[in-house]
Amino acid sequence: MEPQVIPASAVRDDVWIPSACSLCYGTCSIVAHRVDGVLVKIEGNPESAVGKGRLCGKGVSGLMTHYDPNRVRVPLRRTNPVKGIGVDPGWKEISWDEALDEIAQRLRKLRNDDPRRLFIQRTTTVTSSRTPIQVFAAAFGTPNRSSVGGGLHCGNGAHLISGLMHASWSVVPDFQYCNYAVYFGASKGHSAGHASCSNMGLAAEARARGMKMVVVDPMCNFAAAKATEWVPIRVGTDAALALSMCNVMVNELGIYDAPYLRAKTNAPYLIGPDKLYVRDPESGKPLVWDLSLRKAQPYDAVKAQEMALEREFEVNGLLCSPAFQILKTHLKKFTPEWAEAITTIPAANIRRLGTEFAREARVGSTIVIDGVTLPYRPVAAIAFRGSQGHMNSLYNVLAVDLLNQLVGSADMAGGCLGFNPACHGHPETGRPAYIPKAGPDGMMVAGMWLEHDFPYPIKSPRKPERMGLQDLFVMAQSSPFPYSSDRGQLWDTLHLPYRPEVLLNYGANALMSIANKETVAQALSQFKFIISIDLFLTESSDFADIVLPDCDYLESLDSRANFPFLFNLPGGMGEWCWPIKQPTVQPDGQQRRSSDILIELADRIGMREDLNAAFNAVLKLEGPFRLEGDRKYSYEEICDADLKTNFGPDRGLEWFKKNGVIKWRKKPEEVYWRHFVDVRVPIYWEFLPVLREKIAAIAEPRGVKIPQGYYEPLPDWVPCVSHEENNPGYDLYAFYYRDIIHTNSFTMENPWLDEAARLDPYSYTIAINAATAHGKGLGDGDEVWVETHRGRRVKGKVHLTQAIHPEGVGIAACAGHWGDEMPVAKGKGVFFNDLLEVDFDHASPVNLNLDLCVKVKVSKAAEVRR
Amino acid sequence: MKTVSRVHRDKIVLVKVRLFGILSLLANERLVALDMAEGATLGDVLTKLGGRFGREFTDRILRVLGEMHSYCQVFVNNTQVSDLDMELKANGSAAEVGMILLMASDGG
Amino acid sequence: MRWGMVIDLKRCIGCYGCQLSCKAEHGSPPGVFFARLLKQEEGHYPTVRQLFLPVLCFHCDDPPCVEVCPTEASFQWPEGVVDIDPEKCVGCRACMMACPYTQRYFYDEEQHYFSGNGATPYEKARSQRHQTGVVMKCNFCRDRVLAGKEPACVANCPTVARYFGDLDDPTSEVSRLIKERGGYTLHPELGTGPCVYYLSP
Repeated sequence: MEPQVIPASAVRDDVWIPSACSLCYGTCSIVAHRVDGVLVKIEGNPESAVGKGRLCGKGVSGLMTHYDPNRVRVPLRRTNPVKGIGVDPGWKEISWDEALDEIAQRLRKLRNDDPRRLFIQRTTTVTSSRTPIQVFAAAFGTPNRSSVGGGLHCGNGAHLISGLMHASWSVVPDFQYCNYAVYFGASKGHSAGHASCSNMGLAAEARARGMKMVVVDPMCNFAAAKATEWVPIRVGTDAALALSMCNVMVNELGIYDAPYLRAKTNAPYLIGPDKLYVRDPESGKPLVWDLSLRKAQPYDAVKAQEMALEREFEVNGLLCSPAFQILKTHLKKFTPEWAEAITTIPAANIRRLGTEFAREARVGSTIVIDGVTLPYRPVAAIAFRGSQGHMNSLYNVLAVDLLNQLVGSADMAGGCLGFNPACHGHPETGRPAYIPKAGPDGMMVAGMWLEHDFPYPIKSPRKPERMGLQDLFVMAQSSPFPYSSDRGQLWDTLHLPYRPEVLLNYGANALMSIANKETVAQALSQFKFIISIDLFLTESSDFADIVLPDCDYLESLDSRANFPFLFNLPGGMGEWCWPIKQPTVQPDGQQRRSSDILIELADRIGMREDLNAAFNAVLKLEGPFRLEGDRKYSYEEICDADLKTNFGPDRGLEWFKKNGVIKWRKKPEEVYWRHFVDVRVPIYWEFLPVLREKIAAIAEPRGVKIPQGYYEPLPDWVPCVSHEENNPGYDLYAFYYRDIIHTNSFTMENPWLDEAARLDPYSYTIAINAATAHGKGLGDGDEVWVETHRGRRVKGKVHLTQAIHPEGVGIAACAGHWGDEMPVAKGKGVFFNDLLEVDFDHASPVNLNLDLCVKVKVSKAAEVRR
Repeated sequence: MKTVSRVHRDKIVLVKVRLFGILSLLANERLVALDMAEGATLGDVLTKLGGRFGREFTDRILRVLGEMHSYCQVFVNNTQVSDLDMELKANGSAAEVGMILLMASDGG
Repeated sequence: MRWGMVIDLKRCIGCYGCQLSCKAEHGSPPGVFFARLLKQEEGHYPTVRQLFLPVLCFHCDDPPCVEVCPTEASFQWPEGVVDIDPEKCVGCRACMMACPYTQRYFYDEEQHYFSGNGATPYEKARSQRHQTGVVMKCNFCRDRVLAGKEPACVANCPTVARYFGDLDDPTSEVSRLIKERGGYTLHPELGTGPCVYYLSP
């Protein structure tokens, strides 16, 4: 389908078109005002629960990305065979036919040879790319996908724990009823991300109502800037603080929600001397101690209130204890005094925070919402990108969630909510409906997930077949290994049965978003052929063989802009809302929608039937709306089928194009599902030591060590690489943080956003504590080098501030572009990621999260002699 | 997996299995037609496929014996099914089974 | 009837939505911000907060900018909006010197956001309507208000931190907020009578 180019002057109209934003993955609802063929304003869609008619600075600025003259408008082929950083690709314009022909030919051949040799990347920012790429990969037959920096830096801890413990992608305070929220490296409601604009409104309302917000963060910005209390912390030490708070609650105050722990967690499950469940020999079910019968019974044969939480019992000649007893004893060593040494937070404060959290939890109380009586626990402990972005990612986030589990505030009124883990469906159609349920050992299986390999049940590790080795390291979602400096060695030693050959990239800039550019450049150079679908020619596009011009969000279609609800619909009471994204203008050049490109490619490769089957499976199309055989469907038809499957034959694409959204009220039984569903979550991760054995059995004979310390069943304090480094002069901890005005490396090219950022004190500068800076003879605005002892360094201007930990060096976003093809972005901000190593030693051996804090030295730029 | 307790030699259910994506490439087939005894379950079909295409094929579908990977999507007569004990009934002349792997998460 | 605004600093999170939705509404050229966000740190480590301060023209009761204008280009509408008639403005910038809140901007010559590439279609539609050689400022989105909408910055704010209404009506939301929450103006000692009130963070 050739896009029609309609000269703006020929059109006379004045319309407001409902659609969805894509300046960040929040995907808030918008209405775009088009006058005589030109977009002149973007506002929030007041009909939608997603944003409620309002937008952040990024959302309203989409016009300037859309009309950027530097957008790629024609397909390009490189003529220079040499690839390297800063090497001119020698772009030549080619036709779509030529481009698609060549790509299809290569992919068809590759697919017949070994489809796993295709590696597909996508940017997390454009959520509408998720379905087409999932579908294409499944049809093609490759397990190798990556959401690059946005995925690798942000989710292996947060999404894993949110999935296992809350059946959702992330967590948020129940803003409407919460009284005390503790954020650990999170800024829900104060920056971009999941349900961003909605959360901004909800968080502000909570603040106005008097909700206390305690923000634990090395830097006082965004959430911390508005906090009731900012708790400055040494970067990456969140587990120490959280564990200490748990200790105060359980061992010093004796405050915890025993009925919740008995009924909703594996706290009463008996643990033997081997650290594993004591199981019923017949059924294999974990046993609990029945206090009334005075014997061990399978967990599902005993009433919760009869289950023991403490003490020791003898079962079949072995001494065992309920998991809660093990946890209680385990927590004892995490005293506030111990935690002070690690976190730099005064012990008295730690004790006070643990006490406040426990008291504010109001264990045992209830509230009535919409006529339904619910447990009322108005406290929430929230971990996200900051605390999860480390080697010790898993324990950091788990320790934080333990706070919620101990007081029973997980998915209860006022507490820590997953984003929409349960839905009963639209009242007329009963769709989409999903609900968490009990799985192996009674532990919760999510009702829905973004992908189809759920976090629980735990997959069996095996000899890796995926480039990222996630089928060996099964706790990991995203992996650094497609890019790491030691990927070749790892693949050799673990006998990866093939080597990647072709990279299909959608919009991501791996060279900037993963880690230091030299290592990533080597990784990109390994591909024989790279196709990149881009809005702009980025630093990574320079490595492509063919670049295809992408339609932007204002030119694209998505039937499920905010579905799955786990990802992008505001949590808590309110309305269910299903918006779509629809084209508001035609592209002004030869840009095509990625969904159309992938459908076209599938056709030319000869996998149309597989594509249809994949769409049926991913979208769960039903009945008359299922795609049939190898018929060719346009993306419009597929979107129509998705909408009709969910909302009935009268509400297809045309209905949604006109109405924008469909809404219906949420029920307390949906929002506070945990009270109504008989499922348990693990406060004791019994499966971890078991898992380690299995992984080690495969990895260690091949020389890959799997340290036990990361696979213990209870969260512990494990230092990051930076915490153990002790090189004189390298005395500060550098980190990056998400900026409200920028998304990843994408938005610096937007001149409205760039202009605001240039005037902002922090966006493009290196934040350093004023006293620390004076001690180093640095003045505000001085140009400095920030350098690791491995010689990686970045340059920028310092901003002296009170709003950062004395050991911290804070750099915003993923800035510091050097490419010429995004001229507004070029030279703006600082490229933090260039400081990062990416290899096995800098990745968590359990969830493969990259270690994102580095020990650095900061010195005036003029002083460095090279 | 439930075993088939009664075998009616005369009553055969024709099961047409359509394989997609990597499964199709591994098996080198799109359509596999199987004659199954009446009362045969989805699990029985998988056993038969495993017999024909080998361990590598079944490993991709089954997490453990009796349970499929969550990313393996099976459709029987156009309805998604995850229960291996489900009895296959013909819809018209045959029971239509479709199988695809939606593997690999990409996070984000 | 006296139009005024209330900005709740407790709610504001510094998202730049006001600054940018204003720019998108009016197509203001580079360097010109009818609405702007300022940031300031408060306190000493570790007891630190940030103040996010959105500012705009305060449409004063006694506007010095109107008083000094030699051509009557700067004037005040009956409901209090201070505005500029670009036809009458000669660009002397006396008003800019008179305004103690620096909320006026001089549009020198036509500039585009992608310098060297000319005006984007958006700028042709929205920015090119602005005359060069004259002073520009916020006018409380007068056209929007007369059409029954709120000013762009008010309608857009994601934290609902901005309110607009009739300061002469004691029952209006703005009047009640000022009374109940102790709304205050910036630099009241300057005596211009600003009509944008702030609620304490």
